[in-house]
Amino acid sequence: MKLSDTEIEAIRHEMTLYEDSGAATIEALKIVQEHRGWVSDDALKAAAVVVGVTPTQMEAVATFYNLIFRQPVGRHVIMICDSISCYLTGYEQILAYLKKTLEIEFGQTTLDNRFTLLPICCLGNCDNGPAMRINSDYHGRLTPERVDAILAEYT
Amino acid sequence: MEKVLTKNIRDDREPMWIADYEKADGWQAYKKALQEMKPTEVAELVKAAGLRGRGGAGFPTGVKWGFMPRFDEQPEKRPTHIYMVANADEMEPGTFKDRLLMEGDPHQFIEAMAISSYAIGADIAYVFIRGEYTECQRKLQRAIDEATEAGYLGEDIFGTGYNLKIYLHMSAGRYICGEETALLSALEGRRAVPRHKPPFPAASGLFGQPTTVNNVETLCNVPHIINHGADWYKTLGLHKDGGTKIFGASGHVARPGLVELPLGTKLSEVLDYFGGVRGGKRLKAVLPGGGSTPMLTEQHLDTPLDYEGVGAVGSRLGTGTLVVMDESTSMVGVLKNLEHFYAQESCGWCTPCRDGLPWVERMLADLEAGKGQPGDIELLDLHVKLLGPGKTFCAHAPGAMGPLESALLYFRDELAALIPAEATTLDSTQAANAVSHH
Repeated sequence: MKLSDTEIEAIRHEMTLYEDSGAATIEALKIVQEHRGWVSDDALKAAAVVVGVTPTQMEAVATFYNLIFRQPVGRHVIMICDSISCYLTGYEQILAYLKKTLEIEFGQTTLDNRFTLLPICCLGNCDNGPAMRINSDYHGRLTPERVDAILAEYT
Repeated sequence: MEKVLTKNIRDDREPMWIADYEKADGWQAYKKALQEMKPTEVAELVKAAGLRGRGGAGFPTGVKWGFMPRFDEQPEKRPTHIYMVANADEMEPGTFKDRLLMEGDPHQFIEAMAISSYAIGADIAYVFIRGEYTECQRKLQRAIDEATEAGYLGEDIFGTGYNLKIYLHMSAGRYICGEETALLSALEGRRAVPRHKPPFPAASGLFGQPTTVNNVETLCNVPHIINHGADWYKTLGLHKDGGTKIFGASGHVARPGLVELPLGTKLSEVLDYFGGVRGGKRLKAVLPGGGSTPMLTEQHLDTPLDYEGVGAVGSRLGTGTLVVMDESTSMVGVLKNLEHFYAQESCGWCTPCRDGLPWVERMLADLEAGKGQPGDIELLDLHVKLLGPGKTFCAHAPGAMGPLESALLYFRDELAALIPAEATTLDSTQAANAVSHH
């Protein structure tokens, strides 16, 4: 399998930003993920070739960082903050509501492939707890009603 | 009070771009530093101002810069690169202050990085940003592009011969990346496992080159110290520690948010700024500076929030963002939440941290579920010791033990009362079984 020219070009650019071009592993994985939604075994191997590291080195990195997805995800990824400020302001209630509404558990994707639900560490949105992030959008002060309205924005 | 770090920041966080920032005397400190001061003079001034790290550890910034090797006398010995790295991996639970500085005034931060890079002789600077902070990325990249266009970054800046490039590195998660040597491992494209110290990053940091890592808020103080001097800076604080601090509050406060106040402002006054405890309830506990700072309680309301003040009552200023708990809070629930975080975020490199933290989490979960065993409280005490400073490879597990140790001190009876009454004593065989049960 080969990566697209766009992906390769983007990875090669990142490689120029480091004294050791092999440092661009994380950027490479993120670029692949941006284009494909997740990082398959084949895409990981192809990215390793571009960066000039072994597939094992690339896999060591890919499995360490939680924002790299090694399984397919839905069209939209919900990351709900499970850290202390959100815990104090009602995270558990929002999580239960999300699980019930979407009929999935953490790490699962809805049958229509629309949402994947993941926990995330403190999002830095503590003054707006309980908070979550969908794709790259922040949502805070969540209530079950607000969750309904927010989910409707992501089709 | 005089706003320093947040004077340009609007409520909607729409930043000043370069023209407006320059009109507000922006980039002046950088010009002054490059054209009128030697790098060592900048470092000495910051040292004299007494600036201390705002990322949690509180180490004096000028002293840290003083560890960097100098090559003024022997330029031929200068390594290929010297690095400045900004730690913008804001992941301490309950902390959201650096995001404000990066989103609200990106030019202040980029100017601060440029001056600090000059002070340590760095020719390349990286901003290590947590992956979720994409808004920071967008704004900082624009500020870097504008600064490059204006000739503040690049080659032979102002004809002084100084070269500097600033790059953004978007991380991909994991709290341990905030530990400065783990951050360097991550920046090198590897698993974010902390490194042995010594050698410290000043001797052998990124790619083995001399490197300094500083927190975002720490750096943002630097232009103001250059513009107004060390004496002025010291007067900003109320006690021994100079400067202002971005304080924050989240959890059970009436109006959660952020505010810049003098270092040394009393805990009660900072709480009052955020409207006090929500719903007129009584305060139970506060994490003064993020998840890994030992808790304070009502008896500490007069504590001045600076390094010395919070240190004197057995905690740490940390990141200065308060996590507030009212009287209705379940202490075991809070501890379980915190220790779940630390257990999950352990990098797994050293055994006490990798195995001890999940053990602590399971004990707390059992206590919460009414399945506690006699001896659990003492076993938690033991973990506080065995995962404490000096027992682990880095500060992750000791940080995790901070809130637990304080809760075992202030809320011991509440935790002990969770152990069911029918199981009050165990003989040694039962106790051994209880341990293996966990």
